[in-house]
Amino acid sequence: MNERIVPRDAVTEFALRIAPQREIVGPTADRTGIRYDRIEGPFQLCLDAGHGVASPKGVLFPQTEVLFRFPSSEPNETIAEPRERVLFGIRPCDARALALLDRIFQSDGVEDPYFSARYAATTIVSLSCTEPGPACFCTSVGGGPADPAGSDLLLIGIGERLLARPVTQTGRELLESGGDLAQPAASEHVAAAVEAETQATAKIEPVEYPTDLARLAGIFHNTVWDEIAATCIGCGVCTYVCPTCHCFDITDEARRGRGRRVRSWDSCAFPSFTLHGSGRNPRERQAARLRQRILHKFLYGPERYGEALCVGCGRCITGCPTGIDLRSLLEAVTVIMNVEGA
Amino acid sequence: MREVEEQLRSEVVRLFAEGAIDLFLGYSSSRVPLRSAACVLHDADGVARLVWNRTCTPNLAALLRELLRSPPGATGDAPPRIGLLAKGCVSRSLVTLMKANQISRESLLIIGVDCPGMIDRHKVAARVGGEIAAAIWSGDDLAVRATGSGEHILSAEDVLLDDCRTCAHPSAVLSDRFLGEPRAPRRDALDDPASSLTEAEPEERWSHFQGEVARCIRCYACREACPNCFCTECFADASDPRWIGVTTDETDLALFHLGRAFHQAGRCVSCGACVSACPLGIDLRMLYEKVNGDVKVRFGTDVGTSLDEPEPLCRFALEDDETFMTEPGKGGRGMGVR
Amino acid sequence: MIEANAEFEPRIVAFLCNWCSYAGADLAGVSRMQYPPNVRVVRVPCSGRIDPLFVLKALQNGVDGVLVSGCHPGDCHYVSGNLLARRKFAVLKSLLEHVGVEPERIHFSWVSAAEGARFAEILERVIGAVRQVGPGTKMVKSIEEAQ
Repeated sequence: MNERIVPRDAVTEFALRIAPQREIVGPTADRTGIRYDRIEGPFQLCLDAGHGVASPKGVLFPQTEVLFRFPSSEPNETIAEPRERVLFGIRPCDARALALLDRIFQSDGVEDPYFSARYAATTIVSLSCTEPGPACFCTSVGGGPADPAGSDLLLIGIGERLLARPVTQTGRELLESGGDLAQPAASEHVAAAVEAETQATAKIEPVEYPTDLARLAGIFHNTVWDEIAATCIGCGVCTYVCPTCHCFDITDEARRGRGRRVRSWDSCAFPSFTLHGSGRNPRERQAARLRQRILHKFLYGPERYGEALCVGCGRCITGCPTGIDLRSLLEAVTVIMNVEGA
Repeated sequence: MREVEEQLRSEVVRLFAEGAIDLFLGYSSSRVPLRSAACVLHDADGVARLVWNRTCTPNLAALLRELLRSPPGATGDAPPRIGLLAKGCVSRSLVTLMKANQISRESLLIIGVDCPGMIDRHKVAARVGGEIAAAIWSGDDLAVRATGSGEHILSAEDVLLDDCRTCAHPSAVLSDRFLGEPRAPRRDALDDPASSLTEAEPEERWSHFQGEVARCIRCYACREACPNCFCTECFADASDPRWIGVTTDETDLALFHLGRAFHQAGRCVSCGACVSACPLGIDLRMLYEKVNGDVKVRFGTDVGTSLDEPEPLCRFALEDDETFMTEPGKGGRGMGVR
Repeated sequence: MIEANAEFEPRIVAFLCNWCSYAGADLAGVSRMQYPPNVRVVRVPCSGRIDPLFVLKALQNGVDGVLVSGCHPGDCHYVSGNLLARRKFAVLKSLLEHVGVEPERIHFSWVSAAEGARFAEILERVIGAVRQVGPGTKMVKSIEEAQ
């Protein structure tokens, strides 16, 4: 492979050099750790403080997005040409999540033009994890601390250096433009990267989650959902910080005949998500809403896309106001499924 | 706290054995460092999971509504009798909820405790500049290992929730059993921690407010973690009329937080649950302190301390101040009382 | 500031109670009293009907000032709606001022059905105050320009 070595202290310079004409978005320091923001100069990138409370999905799938304004002379809405962008320094779980979103947003032959256009214009340079967070379980759901899925270029931390491993042709070209900041890697660097990955992987606690889809479907009416939802207060933190949750609502905002159509995030945790005009709510109780979220990730996802719609980033766990732990929920569900699932 | 934790476990075992409660609502340990989870026990089996420490931040009173409405595993029509652990602020929330006819005293068996103050996870995160990978307590000192920045030694006092720092009633004001020794209300407690902001210029106050609300992602964790937000339908969710747009437009965010703050007047017990619940660490105590400070100064209400005192905005006095009102020749400017 | 806003014609929303202030405004009209045309009146059953959200929503929709007016204490058609409203407004006005919204935009008053002249005077006063602080900017939602 054409791996290169980039010194850790030159990483911002490297980012600015490989993407001179493009907008760079990456982790920047925030009071809660990091947040994803535009990188315009040195000292902004913050690569050591975890993957952030909120995932980078908002960069490609903004929480609020104006689809079009009215009245308009255009017969159809026009999708603005998205900026060429480099998402720099996101974690492998998030890169994987964006790839999943891309699949979801073009499933059934129908493409979401807004997301797809942005995703296509984005190059992803991810950074491996050497110190996984307290709620990480990526290794249990098909990912890993140095998983290349969804990345164009993967940076693997080895001490004071980063091993840059191109994953796609775009990544290869990007790395070429690194010039003298990206020297060819020696075999000991590659070995060190393998070692770093092994060490990080060992730090991640495996989680048992339900994989027998038929049996999982069989416990839809089980009381286990009531038990695990007993302390769920029905806020939308888990869905809004989740890198793969993608439900949205579309509303019109108008004043005196002029206005806009807006798409904004929505959450299955909210009662209003399924509230009918008649006043009936098919997911009346919190347990039904939490069940929906878990089954969407671990039953409907695998059924439709062949893989769980969870990348194990743990944000829903660290973000939950009442301390609900998805890992414990999955384990509880698995136990019940093995006993009672038909 | 260790001692109280032990007492709590044996008390809960006893209550279940006596048949005095159907459920117990308390805190359990979490797999995430420096966090505790809310937990519901149906029998004495899980009692070893109960904890009482300085990470027990959620206000358990906020969970009562759903528990009383649709208790897990409930079969009959009778609401379950719920035992719960109440630190000072939780007990004041219970008082507030009873006054608002949201819960009945009879359905609760309250185990009161004294609270030494809870730690603010956002303050810890800001101190260590990373994710908290591990934490070990040694008395009131805390050794935190953060991802990317190594070991840090913090004192609990340095990372207390602001609301705990200024709490006047750390011991439960209402309980059936009290574990440990209750503390008298703290007279020295600061009245208005948000006062530094009142001194600021209007533009500064506005930009501070905007800075906080701009972080909002509309997850409504603050609302759902708040015992006072018991409306069947929040104005923020209402679609007819649609009070606010569902966007992250700064005015939609401001409207939500101002509307919520107004509804806290005479109700907010300063438990800090909204601050702890917010994933982005938004702190809008400046609003809640303000409305509560106003009802205290204007209408003499000390929130959540007396079951007999009616809610300040549900009553009036003929002699209430009206200097803020507009008269042909004067008025209509500032409030005078800040 | 005052000079700069000389051309500025504020838009004011007035929430007037059906029994006193609305009748007061009506009286000002039928008595042919002069007052500036900057006000849009919304009639409500009682000043106690005014949800603080009405005020916030009005500001978000771009009005420059809000006036809420009801019966004098003791005159309320519903006995005490105005007195409950007085408490709410005290807290609301203080809260808005606290976050930096100019207090000159938010007004509460008592006007009886017999006080047409008083209504006109209060309106003059309100418009003068709003003119002083200029067009509303804080809290105003823009849905037409690029976000």
